[in-house]
Amino acid sequence: MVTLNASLFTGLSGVRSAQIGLNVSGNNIANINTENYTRQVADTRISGLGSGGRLVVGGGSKVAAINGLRSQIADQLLTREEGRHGYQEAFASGMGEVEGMLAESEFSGIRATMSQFFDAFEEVTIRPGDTGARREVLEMGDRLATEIRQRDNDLFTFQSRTNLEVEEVVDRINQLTAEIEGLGNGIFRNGNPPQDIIDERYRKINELSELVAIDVYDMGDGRVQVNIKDSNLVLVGEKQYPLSVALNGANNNFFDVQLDNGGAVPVDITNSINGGVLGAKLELRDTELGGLRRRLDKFAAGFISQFNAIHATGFTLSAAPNDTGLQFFDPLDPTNPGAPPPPAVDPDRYLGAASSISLSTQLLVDPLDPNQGFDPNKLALSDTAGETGNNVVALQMAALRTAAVVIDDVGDGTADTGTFESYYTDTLSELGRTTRNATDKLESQQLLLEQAQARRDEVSGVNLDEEAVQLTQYQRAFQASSRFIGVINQLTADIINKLG
Amino acid sequence: MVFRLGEFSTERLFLLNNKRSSFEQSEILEHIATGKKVNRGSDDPIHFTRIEETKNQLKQNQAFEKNVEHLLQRNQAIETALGSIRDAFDAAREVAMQGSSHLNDDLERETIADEIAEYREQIINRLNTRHEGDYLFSGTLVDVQPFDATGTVYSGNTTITQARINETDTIATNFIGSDIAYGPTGPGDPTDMIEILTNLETAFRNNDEAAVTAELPRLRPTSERINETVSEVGTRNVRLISERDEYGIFEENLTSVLSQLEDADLAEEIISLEQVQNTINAQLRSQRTINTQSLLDFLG
Repeated sequence: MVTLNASLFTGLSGVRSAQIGLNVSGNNIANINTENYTRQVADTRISGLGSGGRLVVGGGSKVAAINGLRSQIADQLLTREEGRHGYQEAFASGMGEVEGMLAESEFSGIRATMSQFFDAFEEVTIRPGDTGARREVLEMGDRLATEIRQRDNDLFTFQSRTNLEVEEVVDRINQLTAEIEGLGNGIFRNGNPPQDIIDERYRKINELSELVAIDVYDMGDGRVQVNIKDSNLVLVGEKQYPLSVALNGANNNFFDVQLDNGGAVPVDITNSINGGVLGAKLELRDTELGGLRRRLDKFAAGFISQFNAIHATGFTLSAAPNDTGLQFFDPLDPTNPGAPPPPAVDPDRYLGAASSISLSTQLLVDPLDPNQGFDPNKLALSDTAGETGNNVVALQMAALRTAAVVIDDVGDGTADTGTFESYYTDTLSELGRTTRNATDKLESQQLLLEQAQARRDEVSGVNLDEEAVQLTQYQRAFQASSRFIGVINQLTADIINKLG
Repeated sequence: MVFRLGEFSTERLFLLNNKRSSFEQSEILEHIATGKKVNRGSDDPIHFTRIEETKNQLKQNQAFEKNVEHLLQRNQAIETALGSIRDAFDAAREVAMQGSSHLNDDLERETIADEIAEYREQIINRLNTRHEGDYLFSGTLVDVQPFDATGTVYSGNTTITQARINETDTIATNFIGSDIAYGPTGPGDPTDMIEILTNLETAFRNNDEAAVTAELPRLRPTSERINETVSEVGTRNVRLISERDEYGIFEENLTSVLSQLEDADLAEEIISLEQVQNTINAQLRSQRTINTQSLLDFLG
């Protein structure tokens, strides 16, 4: 037999369920702008079994749980695409900046200055005795050397900045893995945690995947294990394994990335990281910028060795001992004293050539006082002493513009490619190709990310129309339950009144 | 099939497409502003190398063309000096031929000797001609005056200088003073114009008819030799002018190639700009329409 009092509680349960439903909808609406928020629904069930004898009537309703509507596949897909996007965006943006650093205009940039330098040499072959033409060669040589140094320095500055960003990213990764560990343990201890905690962990994992490519495994107890992608390197599982950075003396004292996996010493994992912002920064720093600087080094070394070899054989207009044997650029050897002797191949043979190339101090008016500038008479253009109009050596140096083999690209001490202009053009061209590829990939990745986001939204996204319908449903349910309580209340009053 | 849509799925898609359209618009504007569709390697990696190589080729050609122009100017100075030497020698030759007549008296022979001396001096002066501060006929010793006042001492050397007129070819840029003045075998050569004129002057002053007659046969070959030298300048000029003309054609062709590779077609760019602006307008308008519709607006 159902009592009127019991009916009141049935009505009350309906009101409470509707109220929770309204709150859930309200919460969904309030979080409509929250990144990666998972839409929640109230899981309403029958409350109790009632007491109607053979005529069983339920005891109302109750909200058994607030569930998040999520699909593990859609979540994982988005996590993966976020990671790829993080890499592509950081890489494309970095490459764009690098390309901007080496931008050429008609009058500035290495190519333009190199062209002016060779033009000056052509000019001086016609007027080898002319002080103005000689001065122009020195001026242009100095400008070319300065231009190469500046560009190399710009690249190095960017490389250093990228290196510092590596450290910042590593710090942020550690923060995130610590947070993921904390949230995971919270979920593990709670057993049935609020959806918001699970969402928060998902957000952290996604942010982490933007920073470094990861694999995420469900440990089955509410916790997750996060590995560096395609490796056994665990960042967080039951506990956090922090990353750290260490200076690498063999790489400009830039940071290597290490993982403290509980062993005696941290493990160097720099080469295992190939995705996310961290992967992009490492690739930019070591592969792209490092490769560009290495090419600039070889380019500068080509100028130094080729021009010096010819210039040293020529005769100047100065008196002995400055009449012959002078270098045009400061010589190479001091830049990388560790290089093995040719023909041993050493890709880093010319390390530092671009950062140190400069017109020879032997060409200064006074080597002890650089402020006096360069002495045009010390330019060696003649193959015979004392011949002002002799341009034989000048012709040899001017011919270097079109000489086909002037640069040692292999690093065995012997020139194997060229010309200077084609080598530099190839360098810019390769840079342009890489930048364009990166931009194109980013564009595709943006679309893939958008699709992954849409796929997740299909399951987990908040839709205001749906919430409006939900609001109406719960509002009606609330109103109906309230009305039901009113009816029962009225009936109770009626009975009491009839008692006199 | 019906898919659920997150509230901002369409907004995100709009934003992505709008960003792309805006980027495309900024690219077109850059093309119009610079007049070039390739401003950096990433704009067109396929054609970039060719563009750069064409620019390098143009620059090289301009340098060679400048050399050619410079050599033409110098040759003009050489041609003027040699022409003057030839004219002076021919005038001296004419005077000597006339003076060799028996009808001339002593005074006239003295005058002829003076005239010949003046022509010789004029020739020596021309042999010491300077161009842009350099002596034209002293070999590579361009800062050394090649001839003394008598013309009998040559202080230059016999080195011929060369200049590049293209990647592979050079051309001689100077004439050796001693060759011009004395002939191929040097002082005492049968065509040594200084010696001939000095001998003639002396012979006329001494009224030595035999000596005058002895020098006369040397005059014509010498004159011919000088003419040959003058023609050599002409030959060099023809070569240089031909090179210059070729560079003119090359420049036109290369500039045309470069233009095709990197220049923006303004009409095409403007139409593209119109198109992308229409797209952006459509995106914005559709977005506004979407934003005005929501069930929440109808709930009271």
